[in-house]
Amino acid sequence: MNARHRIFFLLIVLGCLGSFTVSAATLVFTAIPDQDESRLKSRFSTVAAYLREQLSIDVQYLPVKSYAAAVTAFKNGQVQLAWFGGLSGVRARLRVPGSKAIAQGYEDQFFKTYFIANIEQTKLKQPVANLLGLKGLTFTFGSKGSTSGRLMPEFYIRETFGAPPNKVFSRVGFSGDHSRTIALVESGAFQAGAVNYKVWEDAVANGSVATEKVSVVWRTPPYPDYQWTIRGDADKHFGDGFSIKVTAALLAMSEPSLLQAFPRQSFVPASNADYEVIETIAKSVGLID
Amino acid sequence: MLELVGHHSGYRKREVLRDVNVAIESGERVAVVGESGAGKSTLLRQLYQLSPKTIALCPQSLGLVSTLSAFHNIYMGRLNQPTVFRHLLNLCWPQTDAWNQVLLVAQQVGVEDLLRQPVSRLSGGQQQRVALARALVQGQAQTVTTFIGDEPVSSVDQKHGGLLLDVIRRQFSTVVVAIHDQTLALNYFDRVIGVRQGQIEFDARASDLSLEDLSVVCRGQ
Amino acid sequence: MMRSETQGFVSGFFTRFLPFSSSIKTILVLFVITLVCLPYADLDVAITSPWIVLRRILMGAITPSYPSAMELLNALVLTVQFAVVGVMAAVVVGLLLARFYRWQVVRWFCALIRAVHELFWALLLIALVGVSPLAGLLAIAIPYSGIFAKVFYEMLLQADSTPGLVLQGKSGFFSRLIYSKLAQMAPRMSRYISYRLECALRSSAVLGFVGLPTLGYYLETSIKEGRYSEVWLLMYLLLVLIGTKRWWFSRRSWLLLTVLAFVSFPFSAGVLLQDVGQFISEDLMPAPLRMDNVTLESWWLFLSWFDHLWQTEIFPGVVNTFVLTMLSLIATAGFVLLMLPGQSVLFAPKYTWLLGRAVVLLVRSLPEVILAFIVMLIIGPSMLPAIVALAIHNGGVISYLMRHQMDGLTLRQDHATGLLLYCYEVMPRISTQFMSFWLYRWEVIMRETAILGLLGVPTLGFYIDSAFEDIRYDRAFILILAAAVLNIGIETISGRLQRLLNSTAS
Repeated sequence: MNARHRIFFLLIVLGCLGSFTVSAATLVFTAIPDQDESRLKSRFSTVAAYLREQLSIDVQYLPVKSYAAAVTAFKNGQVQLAWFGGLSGVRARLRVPGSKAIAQGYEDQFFKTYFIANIEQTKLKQPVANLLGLKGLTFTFGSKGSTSGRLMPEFYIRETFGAPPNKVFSRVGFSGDHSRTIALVESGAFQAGAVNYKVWEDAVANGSVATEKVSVVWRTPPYPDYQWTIRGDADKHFGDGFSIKVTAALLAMSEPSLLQAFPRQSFVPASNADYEVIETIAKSVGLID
Repeated sequence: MLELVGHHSGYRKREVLRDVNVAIESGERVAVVGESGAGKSTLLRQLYQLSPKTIALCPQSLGLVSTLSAFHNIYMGRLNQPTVFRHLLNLCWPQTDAWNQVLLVAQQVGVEDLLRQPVSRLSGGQQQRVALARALVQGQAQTVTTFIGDEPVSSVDQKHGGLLLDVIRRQFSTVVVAIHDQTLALNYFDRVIGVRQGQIEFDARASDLSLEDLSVVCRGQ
Repeated sequence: MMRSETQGFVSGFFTRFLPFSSSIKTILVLFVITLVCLPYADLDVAITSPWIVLRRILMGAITPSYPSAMELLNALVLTVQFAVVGVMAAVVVGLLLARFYRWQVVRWFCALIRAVHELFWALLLIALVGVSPLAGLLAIAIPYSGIFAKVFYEMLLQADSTPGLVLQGKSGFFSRLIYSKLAQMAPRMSRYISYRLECALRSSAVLGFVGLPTLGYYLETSIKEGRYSEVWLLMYLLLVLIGTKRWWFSRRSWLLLTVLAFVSFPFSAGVLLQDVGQFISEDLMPAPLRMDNVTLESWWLFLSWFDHLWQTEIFPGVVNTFVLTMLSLIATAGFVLLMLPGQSVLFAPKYTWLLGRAVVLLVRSLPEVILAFIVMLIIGPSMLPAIVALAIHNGGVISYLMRHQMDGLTLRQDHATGLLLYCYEVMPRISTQFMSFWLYRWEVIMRETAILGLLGVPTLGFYIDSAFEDIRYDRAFILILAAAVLNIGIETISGRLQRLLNSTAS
């Protein structure tokens, strides 16, 4: 390393440093997208800029990749606002009394999970009337904490069979991600799986899945999923009526480049009551005590 | 004064020393002779443990740190001086004063040209001289007055061995050395202790002993 | 009379029919244990058609790309910074702990902090110090301290004690430690630290959880989403970083690099110290006891809570972890034996050992998760992909660590060649070293089984991960304790075996 390199190195490091300094009156938010995690930071930085302009206070985005970390950050008060999945939102609100779901994506009012199967191995080509035909297969969920990849499919499996997944299927895995679920079912490593319907439709649209190998065999009824949740003490920190201002700003988001970060077509109002069904289901499945 | 009374020692049930009585007055120069395995090393080790603060030890295995240079190994004799930071500094960048002090001692034993070498690259004789130099540096401290050496000159010929023993005698007032060269034992020491099978065979003034007397404990040497 | 005859017969049998070194006997014993485990192992092979996905992976290998060079550069610097600070902090703490490693309580403490995977440390620390760089740093530094403590302690034991004897009473404590012990350990220590740095570069993936965009963070994302061109570019970067480590972390530059990394590290950024008392009483406290007035009834509830946890997670988790660990351990040994000659100048023809080394570099740099994923695509989910991934990866690591010793052997002029050289000259001389690396890997493999939950093999790590995902710290904590107990057990056995081997070898 010569002197020039050293200075260069130092500059870069100092640059990284700068990105961690957060001043007192800053709204920090986080987001856990269920798909397309790459370049989270650049995508959500545009959202931060938009909110900064609308709310006229400093807004920063805290990139977090795990559901548990996001909920923990929300509980600690490190973030005051978060874009949660259905289940993680319920978990977060249970831990922070007074916090409210304020907005959801238009699509989130009727989110769905698709059950997919490897055609060659299961001989299931057409959608089936119910899940009974999947008994005894090897099956993979997505991430353990995902609403669409875990909670809802598990709920419908339990409802259909009256038994937990590991009694219904010959093997149960957790791929960790919807894209990976598709890849594993496509290769036949798992015979069937559950996947977020938007991820599936995107994959079909851009040709990253061979539809002659995998097909959708069952669709869940619609359920509410992603939502923006704000801490109850936000008004105390940022002034009366702050939550209402934030809600208005979120609902007013219309720029396609902003909405693409989620990706949603628009945002609509939401309330805690919308997610009671998720909470009930999570309790019945045993994912919440 | 170093004194062992009715001393027994051994390891793993095997007794190495049996009922040994030795007293070494300060100012004495004592040679310890005996076959290998007779218990010389154990005797010296026990004497050393009586007062390690005042004794510079030169063990048979030399106790050199093979990853360090000859300079650093000799410098180790100075570690009783303050401070730990200076020692750390000298470990990374030897300072002039330390270097000169070590050089002076190295010249006495003839390793002044080898100071920068890692000791692992030195020959057996050279390593022995380095270990000796370390003991000499230790002896420069006021508190260290005694030298205990286990065959400290075994890898050099008789003439050079004598020269090295001279250097040791100049530095330390009390000297206890295990030595297999019987001529050196008689000519360079005041008193000779013969050890056989873990016991003191004889303990006499060197002037009262002859080579034949020594051969009682040093068969075949 | 009768008994002594039988004993004589048994020991006679061993000396006559098993005239092997104690290393081989140890391997045989472990092998038999593994055979006993075999019926409990889940080794199904599924018929798959992996070619579409494999083709995509292979295409990615020849068309590496990444959309943002600046992002990569940033990630590169952050990765190095984290690895250096994490490892160096752990070296200091590890040395300190090594000094007191004789004490049983320190030993247990180290085994406990080692037993927990970096990933889980990160999740625990987030709850304690907030989502911050510090949490990521500690997640590396804490388990590594436990590892360094053990390794340094063993090096201290193996160091020659005569230089210390010579200095007895004539030097200060620290000067004596540095000159007589550390100086002897220095070459081995620096080699080991450099290897650990490599591990830290790879495990920077955990830092992704705390919002630090390191290479591992992007790699994890790209793998998840199947963007194989990006995966490969990141892999190549990681390979280059690890392969060139000896130039950028050299004798000359390490100090400067360490100082720079420490000085510029954002220690306090984003740190939000939580109330530890509250964390313990609310989050770590088992759910049934989490109330103001604990009654007899809540203790009953706790018992049934624990019983449920034991039956559904702890017990099956321990069994699966042990079985998977044993099988992977044996497979690792086999893999090392195959890999060793290929990378050595003693066996491989001119310059082909370079190729062997490249392979070793590749397999030890590839994250196990990727290896497991690729193998799983081909043979389906079971313990098998996990075993293959763990064996290949750990085999690569051991081979790398053994290389110096193997190439440094001085042989007779008229030494044998080929297989005979391997079996008669080389193996006997390096077997002690091999056994100590290998037995040490036992607990490493156990820890690593944690991250292979995606294969649907319910190891302890799988359940710990689930507990964290469900944000049930109470369950996670108890499961971690179970993992630690298992780890301590294995460490005790492997330590006994190593001592036995050393005493028979000397």
